[in-house]
Amino acid sequence: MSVSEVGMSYSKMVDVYEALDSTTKRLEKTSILAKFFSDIGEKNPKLLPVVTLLSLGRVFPTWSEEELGIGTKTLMKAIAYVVGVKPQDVEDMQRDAGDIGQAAENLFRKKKQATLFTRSLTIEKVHSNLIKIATISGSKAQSKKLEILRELLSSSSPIDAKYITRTVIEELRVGVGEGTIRDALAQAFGVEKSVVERAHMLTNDLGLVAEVSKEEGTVGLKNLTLNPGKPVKPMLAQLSPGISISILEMGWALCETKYDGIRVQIHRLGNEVNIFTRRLENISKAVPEIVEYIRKSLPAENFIVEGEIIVTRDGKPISFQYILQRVRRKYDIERMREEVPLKLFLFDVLYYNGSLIDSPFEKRREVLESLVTISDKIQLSTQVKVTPDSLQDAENLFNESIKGGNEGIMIKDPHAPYMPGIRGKKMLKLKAEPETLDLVVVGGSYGRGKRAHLIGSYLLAAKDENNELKTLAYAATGLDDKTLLELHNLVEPIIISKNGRQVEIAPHIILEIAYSEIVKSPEYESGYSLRFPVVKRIRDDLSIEDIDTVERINSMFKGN
Amino acid sequence: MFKAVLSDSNVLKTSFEAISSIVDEVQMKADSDGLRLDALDRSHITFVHLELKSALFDVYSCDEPLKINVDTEELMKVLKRAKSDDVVELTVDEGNLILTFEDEARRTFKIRLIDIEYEAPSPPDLDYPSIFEIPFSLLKNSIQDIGIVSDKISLMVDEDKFIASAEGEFGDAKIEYLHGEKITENAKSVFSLEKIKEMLKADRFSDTAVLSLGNDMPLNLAMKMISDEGELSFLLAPRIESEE
Repeated sequence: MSVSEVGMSYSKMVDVYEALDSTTKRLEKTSILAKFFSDIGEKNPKLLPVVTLLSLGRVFPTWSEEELGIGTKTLMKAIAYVVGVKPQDVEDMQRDAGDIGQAAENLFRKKKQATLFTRSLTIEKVHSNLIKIATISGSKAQSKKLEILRELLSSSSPIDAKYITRTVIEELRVGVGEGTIRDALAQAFGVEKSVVERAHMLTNDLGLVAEVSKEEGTVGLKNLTLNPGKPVKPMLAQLSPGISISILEMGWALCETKYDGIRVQIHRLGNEVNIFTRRLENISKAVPEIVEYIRKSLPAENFIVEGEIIVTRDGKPISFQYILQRVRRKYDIERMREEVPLKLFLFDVLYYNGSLIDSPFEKRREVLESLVTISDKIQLSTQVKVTPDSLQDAENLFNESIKGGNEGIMIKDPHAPYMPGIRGKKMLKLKAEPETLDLVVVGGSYGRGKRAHLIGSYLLAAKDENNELKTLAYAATGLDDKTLLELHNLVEPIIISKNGRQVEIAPHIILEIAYSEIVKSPEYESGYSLRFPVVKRIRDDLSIEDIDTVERINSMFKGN
Repeated sequence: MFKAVLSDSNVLKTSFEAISSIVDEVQMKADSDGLRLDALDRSHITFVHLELKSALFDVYSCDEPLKINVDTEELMKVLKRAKSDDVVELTVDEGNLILTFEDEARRTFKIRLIDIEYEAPSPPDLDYPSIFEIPFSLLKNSIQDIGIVSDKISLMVDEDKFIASAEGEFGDAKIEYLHGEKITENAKSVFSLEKIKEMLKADRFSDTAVLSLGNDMPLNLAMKMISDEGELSFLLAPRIESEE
């Protein structure tokens, strides 16, 4: 047939899939792929990016927004048509075979409908048809997609059909992930795994990484950098084992409020502003006001900044759930803008006048501060510099964060570069447990100095299985002065006894307490204590029967 | 410069009723002999061939060979707007196929030309043991009869008869017709009813159909105008009916 049909047989790709499927050992999978990649690299270098992605069952790199948009129903129709059975028969076969790929293979082996011409599929043809499927849009899109898919299937052998089907529904099932592909590329082209990994995290395009590995090796990979417009995998945070340990390890740290919203990467390229989630989905259309704020508050140059979008009501952040309503929205966006107003807190910059990811965080923050014109809608994350001598500042930030309705704090190493996709010790998070405890006030102690006349910290208790109250923790923070005074006035009449600054209080007042962790503690009667307990509010809607039990605390502790 | 005028719009209309249900895009070739079209559906099951000779047209001129690529559905939408007694004029300009229908008013439609990435192959050259003619209406009726019991149809020919039949889950159907032709070899093949129906949408092209049949071979269905100035033919791949 025509020239475009010339190419590499798709059966080569299928052989690799089958080989990968036949072993569960990662090392074997890696060497199968390495051999394949180096073979293709030698014989048909143009195809290398294509087969690299196809090995993962993908047609487009991760950063791309393109998708095939073919549902199982359409796929079944296409198989039914080509094989000459009813869609219902395909569905039945899928149930028996377990997956649609295997079902397709079985049905193709007993194909009922002959064709006038046979030709074997090439990798190029498979790839170009899949690309075509993704680009078709408009009123007759589904039926056109169906046609293009049928064209592929009508030239498929049974085993071709199995993998084309699986590629279309994006479930290849040969047990290969991005990590295996990276290792295989490293092996095939003799480059460092870590260099391949970095290049992948920066570009999110394994096809490109493959091409550069082959053509330019380590040097080329190292030259790959991030580009505004193409999202990179965000650097990820580990859980902090505790404020003091973490900060002592870093020497000193930059601590920031951890906002409870969604983390976004904002790219400006030319006049185009795009906002990506951490899963690299483009949500710009869903949050037009953020795009507007960005245009207003940052210079009209190419950049990549990172931040958190939160929803506020009366100035206070409200639940994360609301923001999901916004980012998944495809219609009625203008109305939602009013109902669910958004705010952006920026905390990092990855690109401005070139890549900044190799600059230390401290420096990047400086650049960020110089870039952003602060407004009500766009702010920088609240940040404090904490040294081993000022650990209290980090604790205060944590308490204020919880009090302000945020998630906790981030503890960042000021010397660390930005490491895309890496979850390491250079960036830590300390979060309050999402679950709070309802505890009763059984005691307290008066403050010092200015607050000497007020009870500044409250002793809290839970109940045990015999309904006896057992102390758990002292909570000293979380309340603003007004609420503190209100609480004091509630408590004062029910003070049972005083001993110096210590008081015993009749168990009537219930407080909702947030905290970062439950720990074992011999100091309290319950045998447990809370780290960073923060009073969220007075629960005057609850009575002593409603408070949490030591048993629940025990099970939450074990659950950790 | 290409121009073709046809006083009977039905030829085009009925041809494209069938063609548009089989292929989504076609390439028509025009030269001094006339218009022709060869297309294969994307699933490679049906091949369609249309030939309209220059003598068929009331006016026909074509200075140099020309390829006209169109989306068949778009063309069909326009052709549906033609009334039987409309005079149809076909011309092309930069990027468009222009259809003009003329009766008491002159109505002009432009259809965008498209890029087609492959050319249809020429049909396989098949040697059929049995070739015979039957009335088109008989074939159409038979298909409707069979449709009651099954979605596939067995076409068979022997010395005396042409037999269309199907065995369904809930009943059977059989149509027998004395063809009166000299058939020396029996032949039988099974086809998808849906696919035959697509071809039979061209029901006003000709009153008779010429069938070429073999054993488990594609069906060739050809319709020729009496004047021999036009031909529409289809080739349909058979079903594979293994014994189960």
